[in-house]
Amino acid sequence: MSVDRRNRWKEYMRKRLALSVVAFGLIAAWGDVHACGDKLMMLGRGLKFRTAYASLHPGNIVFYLPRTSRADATAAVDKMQKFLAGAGHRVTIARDPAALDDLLRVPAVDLVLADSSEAPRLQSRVSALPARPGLVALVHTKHAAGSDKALQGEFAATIRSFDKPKEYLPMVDKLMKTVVDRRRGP
Amino acid sequence: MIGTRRAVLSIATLVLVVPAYSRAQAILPEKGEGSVAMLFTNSLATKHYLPTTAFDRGHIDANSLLVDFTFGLSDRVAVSASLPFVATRYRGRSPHLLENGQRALLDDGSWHVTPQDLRFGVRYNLIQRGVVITPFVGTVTPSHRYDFFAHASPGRATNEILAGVSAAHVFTGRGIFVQGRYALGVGERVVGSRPRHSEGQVEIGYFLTESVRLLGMASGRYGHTGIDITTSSRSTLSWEQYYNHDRIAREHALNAGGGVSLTLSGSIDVFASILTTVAARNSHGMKYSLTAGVSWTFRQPSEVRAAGNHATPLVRCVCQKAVK
Repeated sequence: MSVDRRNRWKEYMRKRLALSVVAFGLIAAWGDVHACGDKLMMLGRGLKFRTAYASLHPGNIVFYLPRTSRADATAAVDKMQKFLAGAGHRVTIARDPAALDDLLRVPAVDLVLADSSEAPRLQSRVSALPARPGLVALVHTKHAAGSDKALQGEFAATIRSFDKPKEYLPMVDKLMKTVVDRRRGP
Repeated sequence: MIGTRRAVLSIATLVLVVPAYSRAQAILPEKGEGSVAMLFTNSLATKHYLPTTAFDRGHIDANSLLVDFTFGLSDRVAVSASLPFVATRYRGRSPHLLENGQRALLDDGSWHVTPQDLRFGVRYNLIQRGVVITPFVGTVTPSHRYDFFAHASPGRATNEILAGVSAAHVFTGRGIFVQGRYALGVGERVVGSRPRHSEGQVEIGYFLTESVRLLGMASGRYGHTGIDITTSSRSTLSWEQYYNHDRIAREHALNAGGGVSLTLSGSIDVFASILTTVAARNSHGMKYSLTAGVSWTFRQPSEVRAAGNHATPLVRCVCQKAVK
């Protein structure tokens, strides 16, 4: 049995077992109590943000943030990279064109994120890379937010860096999946 | 295949050798990640449901301190252990009465403190994507022989095994998560019968910010076996049955409440919640149960260094000078 077939079989059996357990749980009756014998309640911790938003497709992300970038853009990227790293991605920031060139030589780059004013200049370089990473335009100011729709068709996605992490983390995860699926081919 | 068999055998061995209990969250810690949590709970029960009618037969105060340890053996298997210390007090005019008519020792109106039941659990994550599904098994074992015949008893003092499944889903775009669990519990044989019950918990959370989450929760229990307790049970039941009535009663209960949880740093979380009894049968009715706790998450040093680990600082800044 090939490794691939064995893995598919294991995944199939895992799903079957899970469904059986759920069905058993649903068939059995529903029903923590506080009788004389019970003095404990253990609910109320919830999920941590980092756990809830852990990426299902962790990958390599490169930010292009030239030294000449505005302070608000630098602050926004600082915050974004913290949450992206927390979600499990490997994040690198290129601060000048030469550093970006070096980083893009690494075949495992999945996404390149750059300011919407810089992104068009990077498009041809990024699309020529054999790893075909996705290029994402970053919009840093709300008054420029209207332009993100215009940018939609040009790039893999547009991310508003001032949005909450719970808004852009799922989007990045989806992009990662797209990149991985595209590399795998049909 | 050998690895899978070995994992299954290891889990089976743990389950058989170690008495277990599981808090049973569906999303497990990563391999090498562990947490130590301390939860303090203060509760007040003001009603006795006999069997479904609420009576005021005195008030029971309970304070408990639970120390809980959880560790991820792999990304799919986690083990947990906990031991609560319970302080209880009964205030009222209807204490449990012994066969000779004397008041049960614990129902003397003063506080009684004791360690309660040891809980061990093993969870195995079956599905990690979409709806996360994690079956679990656990056991509850009394840490020592303690008195169970009293309103102010710390616990039931019986061995129990629980098996069930936890499920969780995160609606990432909306910042909402839902998690729950179902378990079937089977207790040791008492007065000729083996008590069985189902229990379930549901928790709905909302990420107000990345560090603050609001929680709504409900928990329930449904007794499949047991007897009803009435106001005349002391005379209608045999003494053996009456002495064990807290262990053999057919208990149902539904509790509901809410809470808030706060991430203070990458490793420290604090949380607080309040629950109340909505409906019950053969059980105490909680006016409130307040819980406050803190948990500390840690990682094995080797796992912190591992690539792709969430706690690993995976950010670096590169400029031409740094590359060369």
